[in-house]
Amino acid sequence: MLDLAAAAELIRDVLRMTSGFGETVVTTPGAGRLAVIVVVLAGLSESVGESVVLFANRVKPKHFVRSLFISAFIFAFTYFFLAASIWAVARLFFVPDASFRQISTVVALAQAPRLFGFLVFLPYFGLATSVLLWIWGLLATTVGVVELLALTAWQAAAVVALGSLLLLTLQRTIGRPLLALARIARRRAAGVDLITDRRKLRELIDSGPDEGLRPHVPERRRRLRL
Amino acid sequence: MITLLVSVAVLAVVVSLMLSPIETLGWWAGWYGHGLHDPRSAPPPEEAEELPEATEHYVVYLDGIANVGRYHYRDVQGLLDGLAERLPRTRVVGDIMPYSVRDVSLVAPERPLARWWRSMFIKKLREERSPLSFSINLRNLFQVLVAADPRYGRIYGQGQAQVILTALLKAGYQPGSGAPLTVIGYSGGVQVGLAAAPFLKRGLKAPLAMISLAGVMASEAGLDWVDIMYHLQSPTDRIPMWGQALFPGRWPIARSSHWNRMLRSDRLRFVNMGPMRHNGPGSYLDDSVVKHGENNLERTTNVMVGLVHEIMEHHRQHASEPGEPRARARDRRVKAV
Repeated sequence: MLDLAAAAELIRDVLRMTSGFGETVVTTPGAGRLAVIVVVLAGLSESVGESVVLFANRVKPKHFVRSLFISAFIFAFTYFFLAASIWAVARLFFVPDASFRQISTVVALAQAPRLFGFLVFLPYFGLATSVLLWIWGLLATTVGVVELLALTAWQAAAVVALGSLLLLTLQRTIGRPLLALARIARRRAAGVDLITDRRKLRELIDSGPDEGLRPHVPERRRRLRL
Repeated sequence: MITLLVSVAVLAVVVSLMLSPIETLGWWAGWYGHGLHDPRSAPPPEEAEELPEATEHYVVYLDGIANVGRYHYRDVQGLLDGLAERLPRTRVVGDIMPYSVRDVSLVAPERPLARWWRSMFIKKLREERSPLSFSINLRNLFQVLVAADPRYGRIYGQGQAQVILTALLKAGYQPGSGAPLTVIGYSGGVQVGLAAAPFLKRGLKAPLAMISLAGVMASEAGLDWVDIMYHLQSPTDRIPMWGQALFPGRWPIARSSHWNRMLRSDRLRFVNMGPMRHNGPGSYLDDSVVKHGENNLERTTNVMVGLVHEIMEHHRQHASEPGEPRARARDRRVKAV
């Protein structure tokens, strides 16, 4: 089991993308448990960062906290599928005997930059921070995959990119029931019919309390059917 | 020791910045218990103040980031009094807190840090040069960032529009009368005004103009809703340039941004105020610096009075459809031609 100092050092290595962290992760006992903690905390942090959606949907405080935890749980699940996709692509194209346990641990710890996901909540600078954290996480994952599977940087980048693509494809095909389940879980936790679509959120805000305050929405022109 | 102090200060700033959207979002979510305030629930004008007769135009003043609420500094009060005196048919409304969608002043007892803000405000009133009193500016600057954030700005604008509409109703504004409104913003107040502009235009169904006194603003969608805007700035005042640097929508490269489209139109006009500072001694509102027979406050007041007359003339000549963006009204005319 890792003590706190060793865990902090390992996370620091991941954040700095120190050479050799991929190998350290798989040789350190207790790294797997740390990886789970990192993924859940990163999910929680991201949920806080993106909590504007909960506010905009007027989620009550009690439901708000519950929603944050549900989002963290969904984040951890998504990560699990990302790790599985990366592992599948790596096995298929580059390393036939790649270990899922090792890849999932490295990919999980590479989410460490997302521990700062709460900073996305910062006004004005939050959006740029979100992009930076996404790039940082992606780079950390790629560096980890390079070291773990002894691939070149381009090969590792291809594995991560194709893995992400595979995940997206699965989400839009056979993963639809799971996504629907996640939506239901979110809705139940929030206690309201949660709107996440950007356009609909804008409409929700514009529909404020006073008719007279609603901004003008031009009517859509309909084509005449002859 | 110094490192520790700097670390604590940086941490305090980050935490404060993190918490800055909470008031706006909490208000929207109904966490403060009041729900969403409907401007129509404002007290009727006869209960409020005695109205001047024949009010044909309303001016709302949104103060800069040193503001703590309804209590104005001497120089700001000088401007408001000057405008009210020189514009007899205009109602000047200044008792608005631009940096709280709940219209709660910083020194109000319901705020947990009310005592701190009160002591900092007293320092400012005494003109004590204390870096701590800058915490008021910093707190309000963070609210400007909230108003400029694409995620929070719409909610902030909606909240602030309700604050302004409530103040207007209290000041005797007759909904549906079509009486024009001019928003005068000082520094960060301009960003707040622009965030509220779409909701104001829609709510009032009346001409809307803006006078930016050294405004610090983003390329805000509200620019499309303003019929005409004047930007007053001194070439020696560097603060408004921060807005130009910080907000990419104001960079020349963003050609289709709201700001750059406004620049290409005839709706944005610039006024050179001569050598003045952003705030403090020598500022736009300083009545102790006299040049060419008038002090800075008089010059600023005179310029604004002239602009209000110009704006009224502009409204008479270029009426836009009530409650629609000015940009769209212009496009419609061009198509009609």
